Amino acid sequence: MKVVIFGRDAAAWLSANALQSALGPTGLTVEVVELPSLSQAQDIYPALPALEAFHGQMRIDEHALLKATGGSYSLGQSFTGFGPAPFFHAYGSHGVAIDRLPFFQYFTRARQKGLTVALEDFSLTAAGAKVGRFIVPDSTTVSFARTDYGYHLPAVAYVDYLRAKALKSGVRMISVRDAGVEQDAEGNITALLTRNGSRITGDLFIDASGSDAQLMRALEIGFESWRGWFRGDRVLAAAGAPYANVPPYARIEALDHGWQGLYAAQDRTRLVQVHDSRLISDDDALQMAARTSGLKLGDAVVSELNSGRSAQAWAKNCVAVGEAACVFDPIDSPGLHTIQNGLVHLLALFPQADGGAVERTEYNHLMQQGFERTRDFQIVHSALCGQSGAYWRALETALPETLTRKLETFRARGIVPMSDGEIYPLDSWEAILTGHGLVLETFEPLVEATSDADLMAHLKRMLGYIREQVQSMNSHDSYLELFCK
Amino acid sequence: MQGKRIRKIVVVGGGTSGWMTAAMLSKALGTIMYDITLIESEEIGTVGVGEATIPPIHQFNRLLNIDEDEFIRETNATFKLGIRFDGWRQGQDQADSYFHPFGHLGQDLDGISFNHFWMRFARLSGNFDYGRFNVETLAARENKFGRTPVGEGREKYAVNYAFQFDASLYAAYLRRYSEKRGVRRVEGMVVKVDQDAESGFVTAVNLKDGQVIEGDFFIDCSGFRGLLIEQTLKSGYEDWSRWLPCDRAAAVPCERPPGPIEPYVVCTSREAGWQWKIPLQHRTGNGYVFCSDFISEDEACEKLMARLPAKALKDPKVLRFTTGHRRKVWEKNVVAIGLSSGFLEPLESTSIHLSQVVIIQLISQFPKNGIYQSVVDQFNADILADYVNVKDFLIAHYKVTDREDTPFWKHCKYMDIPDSLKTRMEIFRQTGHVHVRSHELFKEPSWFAVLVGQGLFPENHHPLADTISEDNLKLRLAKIRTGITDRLNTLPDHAAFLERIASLQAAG
Repeated sequence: MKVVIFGRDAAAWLSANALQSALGPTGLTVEVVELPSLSQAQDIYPALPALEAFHGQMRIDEHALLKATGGSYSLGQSFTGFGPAPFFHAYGSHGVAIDRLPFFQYFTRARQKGLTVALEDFSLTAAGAKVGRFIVPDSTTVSFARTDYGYHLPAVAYVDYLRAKALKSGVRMISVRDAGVEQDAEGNITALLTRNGSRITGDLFIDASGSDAQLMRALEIGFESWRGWFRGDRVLAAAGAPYANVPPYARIEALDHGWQGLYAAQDRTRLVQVHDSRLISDDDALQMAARTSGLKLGDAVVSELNSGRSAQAWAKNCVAVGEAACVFDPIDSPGLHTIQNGLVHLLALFPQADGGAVERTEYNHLMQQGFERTRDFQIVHSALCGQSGAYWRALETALPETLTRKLETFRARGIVPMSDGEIYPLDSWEAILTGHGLVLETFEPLVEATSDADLMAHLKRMLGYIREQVQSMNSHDSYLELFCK
Repeated sequence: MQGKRIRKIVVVGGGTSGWMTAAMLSKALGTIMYDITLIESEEIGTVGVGEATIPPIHQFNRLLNIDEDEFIRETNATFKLGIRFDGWRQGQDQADSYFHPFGHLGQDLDGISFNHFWMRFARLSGNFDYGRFNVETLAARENKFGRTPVGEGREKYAVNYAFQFDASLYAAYLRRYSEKRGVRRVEGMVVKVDQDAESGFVTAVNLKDGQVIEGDFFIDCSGFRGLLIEQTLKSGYEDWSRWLPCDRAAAVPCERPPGPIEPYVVCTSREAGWQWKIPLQHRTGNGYVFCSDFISEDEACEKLMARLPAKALKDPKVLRFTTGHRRKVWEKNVVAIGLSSGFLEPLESTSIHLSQVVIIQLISQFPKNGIYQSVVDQFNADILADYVNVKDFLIAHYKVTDREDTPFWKHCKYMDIPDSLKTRMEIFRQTGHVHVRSHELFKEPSWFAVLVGQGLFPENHHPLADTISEDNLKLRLAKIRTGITDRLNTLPDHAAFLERIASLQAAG
C-alpha cells in the first residue's frame, strides 16, 4: 500500500514522519509530493503540550530538536487586555483537590469569601513561567500538579528538521511547483500528474497543501466559513531580536483592531498579529505591531486568513491534514495540534486496502468534534473580551449552542461540561473563563464541608509550596543553554 | 633591647605603605601609650599610578573602621571583580582572553569542587568557557557591579570584589586619618642613621635640617633602597629575576576612555612583558612591565604611548626594580614594609596586600615588651611563605603559555621553574586537583582560573564527578547557571553604582 502526501511544510512532513514511523515497518510506502514551502524566517509554530508525546512516538529528541531549530519551551500564554486584569493560561493544573473535590470549587468559594489571589497564582506552571523558570515534571511536582509544556518552533528550521528526518527514515520525495489530479470514475484519486509528465500513483492521498486545500478542492468538497465568529482576515508575521532572557510563554495582547502574539525563541522573537482589513490597513497594522511590541521588526509578511473548516476532512480516498481540513484563527495556538490530531486519528482508523468507508465516517465525525470544540474555546475571547475596540464588538453570528451551554453551566455551578474531542483540558477552560472575568453565582455545596479556617490553611500551604518550588526551578535560559544549545 | 618596653615608633617614609602603617599603628596601638612619628620628604616622589587591590583589603579597611563609600569617594576608586588577561596564551594579536575572578566557580557538589563537574561538562560539550559559571566574570563582561545584601551568602552567589584606586589619594586619606589620631608627621630627609654600638639596633635617624628623631622601633617604608633594612642593617636581598625576568615598568595615566567604566583590570600580554590598564573614576592608569634584556626603555615607552586607550595625561615614567624579597623583613628593631621588603610585579595586584599582611602581622605580634628572636624568626618565615606563594602564582602566568612568538616569551616558556610550582602543575595536569595549603593567599579558584585560562587543561577530573548521569549533570549545572544569572540580573551598571555613591555625599 502506498500513501502519497501532497503539500508542504509542517502538515506534509509531520504526516510523512508519523505514517512512516508507525506504518513503515508494516510495508507501507510513503511518498511526499512537495510544493514550494511557504514558511519564512518570520514564521513560528507555537505548539501545545500534546506535541511532546507525538514527537516521542516519532522518536524525535526534544533537546536535539530545540537545538537544531533555535526553538524554546512554552509553559503557557499570558493574555493582556482580554479580561478585567491580565491573566495567564498555563499548560498545567491549578491547586490540588481537597477531600477529593476539585480545587476550582474551593477557589470559587474562597473568592466569594473575599480571597483576592488570582487563579493563576495556584498554578506552579504559571508562577514559574512568569519569572522565567522552566519546569521539568518530576516525582515531586507530579504529586502536586500537572505541569506540561509546549514549544515555540521556528518554522523554517522545524520543517527542515522534519524533512531530513523523514527522508532518512525512508520516505520518498519529489518536488513540484504544482500537480494535476487524476481521478477514477468514482471520484477517487488515482494519481498526481506533474508538469514534466510524471504520474505518481497511490492508494491513499493526504492533502497537506494548507488553506488552498488543493486536493479537497479537486474533489469539490465544500467549505464552512467561521468569519461570523472570527473577524480577523489578515495575519501579519514579523520577527525581531531575541530577548536577553527568553520568556517561556507566549504573550497575547488584545488590540483595538485585532490581537497580537509574541512568541520568543532562542534565535529571534516572532510576532503574529491578526487584524480585520476592514478596520485597519496592512501598513498601519505593521506600525501598530512595532509600537505595541516594542521590537524592532524586520520584514513583515501579511497573508490572508479565512477561518472555517472543510465540510469533510476525509473524502473519497483523500484525507486533509492541517489547514486543508480546518483553518483556525491562530489565537490559542491550535495549528500544529490540528495536524497532530488528524494524524493520530488517521493512524487509529487507518483504512484497509479495500476502501475504508466505515473508518471515513468515524474519522469525519471525530475531526468535526475536535475542530468545533477548539473553535468554541477560541470564540470565548471574542465573546467575552473586555476591549471596546471595533474588533471586539458584538459577534455577527450567535454563539454555537455547545459554547452557550458551557458558559451557562460554568456561570451557574463553576463546572465546564467537557465533551469528546476537546483539545484544551478543563484547567485551560477554567483559566480563560475566569481570566475573562466570568463571575460565578454558586459552587458545589459539598465543598462547604471544609471550614473556612481549614480552607484558608490549605490555600496558604499551596501558595507556600509553589513559592518554594519556583525558587528551586532552573531558569528557562539556563535549561536551554545546558540542554538545547 | 630584649625586655625593653617599646614606646617610640618611627615610620621612615610616607607613601602608601608609610601611611597604611601609621594608620594601623594609631588605630591598633593608639597614641596614648605610644609615640608614633612618620618622617617623609616632599623631595622624594612616591610611586602611585593607579593601584589595584584584592579582597583582603576589606579586612584592613574594616580594622581601620573606614566607611567604604567614603573611601571610594576619597580615592577615586572603582570596583574590581578580577583581572582580564588578554593574549597570554597565544599572543597579543590573538583573541584569547580569560578572566581571573575573585569568586569561585559554581558551587561544590557532593563534597568535591565544582571544577571537576565543569571539566567533565567541558569535555562532553566542547564548551570551555568556565566564566559562565562565575558571577564576577559575567558581571565584568557586562560592566555591572553591585554589593550583595548582608545575609545572602555563598549559595546566593555573592559578588566578591576589591578596588582600583589612586594610591596617592589613599595615602593622603590615611595621612589625615593618622594625624587625626595623633600621629606626628615630620617633614625631612634622613641623612644618617644611628645604631647602638653593641646590638646594632637603630636608635635614631638624623634629618637634613639637623633634627634627630629617636625611636625604640622603626618601620622602614623608604622604598626600593631600604634605607634602614638594607643600607643600615644589611639584611640581604633574594633575587628572583631568573624566574620573573621583568625589571622595569613604564607607567602613565591617560584620560578616561569613553564608554563604560570597567569593573576590572586588564593585563595584556606584550612582546617583552605585559601592559596594565586600571580604570579609576576620573582617569585610567596604564603601564608596561617589561624585561630590559628584551626591549629598551625608550622602545617600551614608545610602545606604551602608542597603545593607550585614550589621551595621555603625562609623560611616561620608568621605574626600575629587581624582583625578589628582603631576606629578613624584620631585622633587629626594624621591620620593612612596602617596596623596602621586596618587589613582585603587580600582575596579580599583590603589592598593597603584601604590605598590609606585614602590617597586620606586626600589629598582632607587636613586641610591646621587647623583641624576642623566636618571634622575629617565625615572622620572617611566615612573610617569606606569602612571597613564595605569590611568586609561584606569577611565574605560572609566564610559564604556562603557547606563546613563542617573541624571544621574551620563548625564554619564559622554556625557563626552569621552582620545584614547588613544578609539582603543583604536574598534580593539576594529571588529576585536575589544585594542591593548596590553607595559609596560601591564592586558593583553588585562582589557580584553576589561571592555569586553565593559560591553556593547561587537566587530563583527568575527580572520579566522583562521573558518578551522576549526563542529564543529572546538566540539570545541576543549569541550577548553578540559574542562581548566577539571577544574581547577575540584580546588579546595576558599574558606572551608575559609582555615581550613586558619589551622590550620597552630595546629598549629605
